[in-house]
Amino acid sequence: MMMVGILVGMFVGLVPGLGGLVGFALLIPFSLSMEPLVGLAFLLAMSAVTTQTDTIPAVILGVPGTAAAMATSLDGYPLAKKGQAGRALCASYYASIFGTLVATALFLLFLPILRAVIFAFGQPEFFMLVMLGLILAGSLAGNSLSRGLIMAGFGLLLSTVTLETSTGEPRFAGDIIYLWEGVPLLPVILGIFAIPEVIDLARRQSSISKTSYDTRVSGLWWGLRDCLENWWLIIKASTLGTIAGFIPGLGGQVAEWMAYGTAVASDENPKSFGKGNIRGVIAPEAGTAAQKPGALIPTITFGIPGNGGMAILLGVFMILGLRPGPEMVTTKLDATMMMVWVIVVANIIAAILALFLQKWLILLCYLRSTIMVPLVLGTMLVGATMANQSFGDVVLFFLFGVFGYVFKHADWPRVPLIMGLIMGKLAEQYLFLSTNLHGFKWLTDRPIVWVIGAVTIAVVVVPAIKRYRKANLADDGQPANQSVSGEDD
Amino acid sequence: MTISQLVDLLLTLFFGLVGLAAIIMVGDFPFRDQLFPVVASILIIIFTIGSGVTIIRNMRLGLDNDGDQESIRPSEGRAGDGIHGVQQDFKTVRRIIGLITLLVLLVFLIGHMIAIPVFIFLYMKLNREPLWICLVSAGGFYAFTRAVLIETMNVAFPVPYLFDWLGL
Amino acid sequence: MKINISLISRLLLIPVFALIAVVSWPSSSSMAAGVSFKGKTITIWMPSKSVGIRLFLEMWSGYISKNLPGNPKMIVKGKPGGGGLVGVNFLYNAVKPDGLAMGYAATPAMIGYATNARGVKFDPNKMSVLGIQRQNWVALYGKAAGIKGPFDVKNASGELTFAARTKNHLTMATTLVMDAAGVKFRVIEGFGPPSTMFQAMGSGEVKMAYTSLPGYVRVTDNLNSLQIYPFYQYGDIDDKGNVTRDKNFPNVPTAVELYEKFNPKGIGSDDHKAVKTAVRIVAVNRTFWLPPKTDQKIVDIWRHAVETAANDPELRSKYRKKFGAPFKFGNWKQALKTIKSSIAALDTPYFQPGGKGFKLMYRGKKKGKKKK
Repeated sequence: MMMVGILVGMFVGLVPGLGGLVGFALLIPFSLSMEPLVGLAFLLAMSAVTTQTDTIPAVILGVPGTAAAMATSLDGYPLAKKGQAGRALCASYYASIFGTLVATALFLLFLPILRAVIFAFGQPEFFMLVMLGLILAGSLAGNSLSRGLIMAGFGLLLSTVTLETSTGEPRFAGDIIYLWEGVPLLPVILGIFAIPEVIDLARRQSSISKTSYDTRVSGLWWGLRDCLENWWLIIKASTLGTIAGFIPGLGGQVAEWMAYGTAVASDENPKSFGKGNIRGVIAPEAGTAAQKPGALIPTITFGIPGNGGMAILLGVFMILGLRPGPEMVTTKLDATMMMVWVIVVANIIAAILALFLQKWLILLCYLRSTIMVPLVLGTMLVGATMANQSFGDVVLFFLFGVFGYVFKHADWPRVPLIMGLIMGKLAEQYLFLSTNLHGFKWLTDRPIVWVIGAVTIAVVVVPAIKRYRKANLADDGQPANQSVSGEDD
Repeated sequence: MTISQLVDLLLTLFFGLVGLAAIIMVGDFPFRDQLFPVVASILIIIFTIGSGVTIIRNMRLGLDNDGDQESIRPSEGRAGDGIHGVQQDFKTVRRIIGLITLLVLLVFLIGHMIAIPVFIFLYMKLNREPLWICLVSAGGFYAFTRAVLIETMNVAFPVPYLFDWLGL
Repeated sequence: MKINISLISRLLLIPVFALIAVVSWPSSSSMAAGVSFKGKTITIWMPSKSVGIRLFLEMWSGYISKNLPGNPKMIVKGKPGGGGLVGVNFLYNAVKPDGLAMGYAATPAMIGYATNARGVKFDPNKMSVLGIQRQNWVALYGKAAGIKGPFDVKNASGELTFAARTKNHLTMATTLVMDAAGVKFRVIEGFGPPSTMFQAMGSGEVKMAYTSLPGYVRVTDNLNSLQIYPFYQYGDIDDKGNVTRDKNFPNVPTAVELYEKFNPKGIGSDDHKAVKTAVRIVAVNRTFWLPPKTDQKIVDIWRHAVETAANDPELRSKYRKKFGAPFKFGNWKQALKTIKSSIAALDTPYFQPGGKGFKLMYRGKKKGKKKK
């Protein structure tokens, strides 16, 4: 049963637009008739591996099918263009496996203080963490800090389109009912990344990879070597991922960007990020993978889901007969450990299967553009329509595709816009609740808020100071090394 | 002024205006609904002002907007051949955007299930792909969408306007 | 040779297009006069993305099919958006009334109709109503409230903060009960799903919250471990229209009971009636219906099938096991009665713009604009 779950998870992860939610819709009816533990393993395995295969379109096509693969695509796609798609994919699989293993170890380590950690955070701390994730994305995913932050702000503003206002009056949505539940992520993310790639492929009239196809390069060992060489980065990224998972409501995106940020900050040549640095693939993949076991813990111990996917899983778990509670880490620890191991084992099996699969998938990089363009466009358009199954999805896909093309060629980073759109709703909720509950004292009375605030400011200020110093050194006749990174092609 | 500087300036202006418009538009809402959009808009406006000042300063100094001495950007690995590449074959880009627009219109008119396979077939055929590739691609796409999305996952694609008008 | 290939290609294009068009043309599906659904596929439209609701509909649809002539295939499709309005508007206006599509309208959509909200493009009076699914809700208090039980609320420490998604009929009832008790009370809007409220209660940021009764039953042990307990239930409505305690939750008082206990003089007042109205609105949790103008014969068959399926002991036992609470179903007659009484209750000055109920259920208004 677990194998079926893994295969479905891999499939829905691979096809942009499907994702875990569709996987649940597919599998839940079957899980109803199963023994609770079998049903749990079935669904958990499915949800655990979607982030493994969503890396494939992110690396091969430069289109992250889910938000969790955005950071990976920044360096994964340039690697694919260099003919190193196999290396990038293999490194990402190994990083995922190592990430889940590190998270499992950390889970056992954190067990005694779990409760204290989860309930030490209030709305203001959640708000600050969301902003940290957003500013990391804004500052890392582009060539210019101000452009990144403008795009993040625009994403935040887009997330405020809704009907759910105090008055019941639509905000920024007018009479367009389609927008009353907000701007859906899927058509925006697929439009903004896929259409520019499609246009450029058609314009260049060449395959994605600019090198000739080399059958010897599967990347199996190369990727493993990359991971082993960067073992310390994996541990750091996985630790951040696990912590982000523990904290309810944050989700994989913050984990992903914290991990990517660590990779950039600790690299001797930060300028190489965005141009095909393998560490830019390893870190976010390890972080995102580690976040899953991390998020499972508050979900099953306190009934407080670590992220959106876990919220769905929680509902299904309860229907299958699992009752969340502290006993899940005391008397029923074996059941909890079983679930953690399902995630680990599912990731390992999925990685092995993906290795077999990728040999063929990499061939996509070498297909003629005249074949790739209509197929990619059609797939993405169908994927975009999966959001609300409405023509509104088609319109958004197209509009953001055109915007995306302009942004790409004007070098305005698109990732912060998506991050803003994803995190905006949470940020608005946490900001309003912080103010509603604590007035503006939450800014002055809470030490954890100060710490996160200081880290956030450091993220913005430190690289700027570094750049300034290096520029000054360059003026004195030494080589300059200004920018932190660039967005993907 | 280089083209890239002009585009940057226009985008900066666009986002600044969006921020301003948002502040005005939420003016009627109560505090709860105003708070976050206003905070986001203020951030946008502050950064657009910063960005605008940098662009104008660089224009005066003859620098690129990233502060580099060379005005050619973006480099390989960021946005490929950048704004200059796009300029060079603007006609091709325009043609491709036109084709995508056509696909979108077709989807509205005859629905995903017909429009996309037809588009795949025609695009490939027009670009002189062998007929069997065109047929396999269009047919494969159709079969996949039908079998997996519609039959297995019960996806309900929107009813196309032509069917609606014809009362089908 | 080139010419030949081109010619063949063009010739081949015609059957290809024809084949694609034929295979993908939507199947025409008008029902024959002698109603049978044999070989047909029926779609249940859900105006939500909820996995739990999908699960319930998948489970129920099998039993409905058993009771429809011809035992059709049943599939569940989502049409979410606009807080449920998109799906309801779609089924009401765009789906053929041929008995091959069924759906439901949730409470917000029905309140939207009763209060002339924007975007409502349906009339519940014209729907072919099949039945309703009722649901009870429960208000909770945490350790930070500093009380020993529901009737001890007057001894609460400081202001009682009540976590809520938005101001609505549930928060209105709680506000009126707290007013009756003379307690300092504030609704904290802006929370997400109940789990976010539980987290805030666990960390002591808020003192009270609410959740659905099945939702509470499923996590009772966990909430007890976090020192979160039931404060009151909104209650059931009996055949005479009175608010009663849920048979499955007999030890927890209802909101109406608490109001009457705290303010005996207020019985019969507008506020007292408003608390009862809130319970009525709670009762219209999900209204199942077919598009308007569906042939009466088809509607009757559906009503029978839906009711028989809902009363199937196997389904009821399965539902209870999976969802932790009984499946509370009211047939179409009860549904119509409940819907009409709820809409009528809301059609009073108390709930119209400027009225106290309106202010308590809606959080504010746009400056310079009058709410419809």
